Amino acid sequence: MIDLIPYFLNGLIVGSIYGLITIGLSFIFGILKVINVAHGSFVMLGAYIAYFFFVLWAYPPLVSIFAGLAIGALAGFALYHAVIRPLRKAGEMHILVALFALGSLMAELARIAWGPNVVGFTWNIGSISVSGYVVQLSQLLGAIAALIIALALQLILYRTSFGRAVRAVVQDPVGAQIVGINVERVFAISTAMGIALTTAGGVLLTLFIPVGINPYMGDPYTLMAFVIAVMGGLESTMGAYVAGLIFGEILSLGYPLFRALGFAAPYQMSLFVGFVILVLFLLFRPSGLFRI
Amino acid sequence: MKPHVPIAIYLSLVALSLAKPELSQTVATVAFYMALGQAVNIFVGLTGYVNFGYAAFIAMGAYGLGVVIAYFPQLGTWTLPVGLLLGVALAGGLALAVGAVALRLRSAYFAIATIGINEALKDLIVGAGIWGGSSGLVLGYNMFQEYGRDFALFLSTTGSTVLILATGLMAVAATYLLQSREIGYALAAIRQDEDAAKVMGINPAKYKLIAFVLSSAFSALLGSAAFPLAATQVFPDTVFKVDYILDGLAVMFLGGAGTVTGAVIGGLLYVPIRLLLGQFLPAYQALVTPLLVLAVVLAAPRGIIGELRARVSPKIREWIP
Amino acid sequence: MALSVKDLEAGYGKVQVLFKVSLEVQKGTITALIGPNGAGKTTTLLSVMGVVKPWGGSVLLNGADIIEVPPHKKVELGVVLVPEGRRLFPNMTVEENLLMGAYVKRARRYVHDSLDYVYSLFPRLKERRKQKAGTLSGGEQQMLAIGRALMARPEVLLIDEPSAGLAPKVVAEVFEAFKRIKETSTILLVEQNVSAALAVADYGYVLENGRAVLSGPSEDLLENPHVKRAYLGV
Ligand SMILES: Nc1ncnc2c1ncn2[C@@H]1O[C@H](COP(=O)(O)OP(=O)(O)O)[C@@H](O)[C@H]1O
Ligand SMILES: [Mg+2]
Repeated sequence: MIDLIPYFLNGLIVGSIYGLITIGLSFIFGILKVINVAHGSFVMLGAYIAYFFFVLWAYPPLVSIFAGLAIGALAGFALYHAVIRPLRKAGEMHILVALFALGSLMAELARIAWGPNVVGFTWNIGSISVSGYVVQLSQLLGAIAALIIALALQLILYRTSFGRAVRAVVQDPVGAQIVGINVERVFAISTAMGIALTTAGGVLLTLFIPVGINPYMGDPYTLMAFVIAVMGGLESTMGAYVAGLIFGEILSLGYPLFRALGFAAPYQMSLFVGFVILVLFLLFRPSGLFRI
Repeated sequence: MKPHVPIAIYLSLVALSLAKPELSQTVATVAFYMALGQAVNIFVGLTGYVNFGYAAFIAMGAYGLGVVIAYFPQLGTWTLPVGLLLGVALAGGLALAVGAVALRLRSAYFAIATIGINEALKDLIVGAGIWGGSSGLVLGYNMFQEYGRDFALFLSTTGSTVLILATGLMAVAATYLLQSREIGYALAAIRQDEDAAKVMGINPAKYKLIAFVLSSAFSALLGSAAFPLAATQVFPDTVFKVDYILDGLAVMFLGGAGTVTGAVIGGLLYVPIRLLLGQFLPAYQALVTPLLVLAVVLAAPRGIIGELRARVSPKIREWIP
Repeated sequence: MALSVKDLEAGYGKVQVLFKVSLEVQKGTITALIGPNGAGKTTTLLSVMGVVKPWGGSVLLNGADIIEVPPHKKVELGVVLVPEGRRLFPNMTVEENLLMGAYVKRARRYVHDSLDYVYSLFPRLKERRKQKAGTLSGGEQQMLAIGRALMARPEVLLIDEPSAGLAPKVVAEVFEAFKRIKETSTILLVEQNVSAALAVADYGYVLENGRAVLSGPSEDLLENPHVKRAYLGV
């Protein structure tokens, strides 16, 4: 019999990061109705930020996360003004295609700038033991940081004037305009925030992939974020976070189960199950887990 | 509308590959991208929905023929038609299954689902070790056994080129017919405003599904031609490459989305552009396709044929459908 | 003149809807804009607001041309719209909707006064202040839309067909409120309910096929043979 508890703990911890990675996608979709198919490339950007801050200046991810947020916000502003806004009139197909091309472009640029090889680092600050089960302290802190960022976003949405403006835009963009909200500005800032959260997620992700940073690492995270976002209701940011925890469990518990069942590549099988979940949700519950 | 221009271009390519066999490889490459652009156009260009999972349908074609050659040697030369049919059936069946579920959803959800197909099928094949798993199918030996040495070599050179050209020609005919019939008007109405189309009594899901299945079937034929037939091998890492959709989109947008001639012209230009830039800036070749797509979508979303059509007189417009 | 519109032209895509429309709205009055369905009344208000981008002409607020000012900044200047279809925030409560109305700087510091004022104008909104806007009846939604606009402390209030879909008793209640609103805001009122509109208005314009074809004091318009025949069914 396999002891599943360490896998469960690990799923919860890594799930917190998946949740954060997905929140940015849900946030942007909820407000602009744009699916960021370049999502994974911003995760990749965050991972490289963490890598360079660590190997060049020895700053751990809990510090470079601020750089991730700042660089992500700048990238988000640029993304909005260079791609999304000019194409909003042309239609959804054009935005999707342009974003897809942009994601690929970012990966190729990363390859040219930083090389095609897989890189990584380990930030080891010891471990703690929870009733006999060992948890890496760095990973636990990363998960807590992700949770704090997710909660901070809720605070912004429900306790600030900008948050009220965002909710107004979501509920009725014309109504928002005529109470004096600058809808364009809300769109631009929201894109910046969404991308910032995504790159921050990429920064924290490096705590879990000691040798996995490479220019093309983003693709599976695009799909993973889609699955999680759909589970969480696609427009709900807290839904995305909770669904991230659940997906973390699926991947983490799936691994020993598929290995026990004798599959050659258990991790890939877990990912496949993720896709099956996506299809099932699209079929039977496109509004996600949490909405009635 | 007169489809003479694209048909003439294809016939010249057929003539060229027969007259100069040493050019067959180049012709095949150009025709592959032309036909890929057309396959993408039949769905993406005509419906306005985006399918990011073309590689999955190309892969179904590749595996369909590959599996028959690898596992049913007793069929002899019949492996070719049976394999092609199996590839088309796998891709068409996949399109039917995915389309029936996802085409009823908003286009954003559809795009999500298609990005998933690719990764998921690859994960399934590698993860469960299906059809050779991560080590793929190597077919050279079986093809020699089944077709004889000379015919096998002929098939993997001229044969695959002819199959690609034939697929492209069929795609021209399909696009032309789709556009000039009732279904063309229905699709145009759906592109403009799906809700208004429903009010007019059009069933958007049905027409989108037809375009989706057709487009997938053509992709499968291209997959059969390029991998088992020409390369005599099928590896998950090469057939499931996401690059194909970007290539197809580049060809389609460059030439003009939603037109019959666009992807043909786009393909004729795309391959030389890539080759030239690859010659002079080899390190940056990989940037060409995404940059091209971004530039065309942002600066000239109607593409070459679309811009031309908007500028010329109706009489000339007839000739560049 | 609080608001004056000169030679306004506007349309959608290539189709022109408004042809040199000119209107004058005197400070402290109610001016009615009437006309048949599809005449361009909504388009006029949306163009004044800037939600629809005008093709030409000018919109003057107290003499200054504001035609290039984007909609959200017009609210800051005191031009506020109660739109067709109300455009409320359905998942926010009545009170949250009203607070959103005071989003602009000019209104923020008066929030409490404004809230009292709106609740005194429409006591029903006060009773339902914790209820989601999406669950209100049509009449209550209209009151909320007007109340939300008032929260912005409008100098000029543009109101688009407040009577649409409402029972006569509710229409009367809403129109009664206009008489009080007029004490603090100038009103441009678009209506298809011509008799009700001209009863409350001081001055009126008739818009047909995108052209202002008639204008005059309400009493005169009520006597006008064309108005009588076309709009009052006499
Ligand atoms: N969003 C729109 N797109 C295209 N045409 C429109 C739109 N809105 C209104 N129109 C057209 O403009 C004309 C005027 O409409 P509108 O201003 O709504 O008239 P009214 O408010 O007087 O009923 C009508 O012919 C209508 O069909
Ligand atoms: Mg109207």
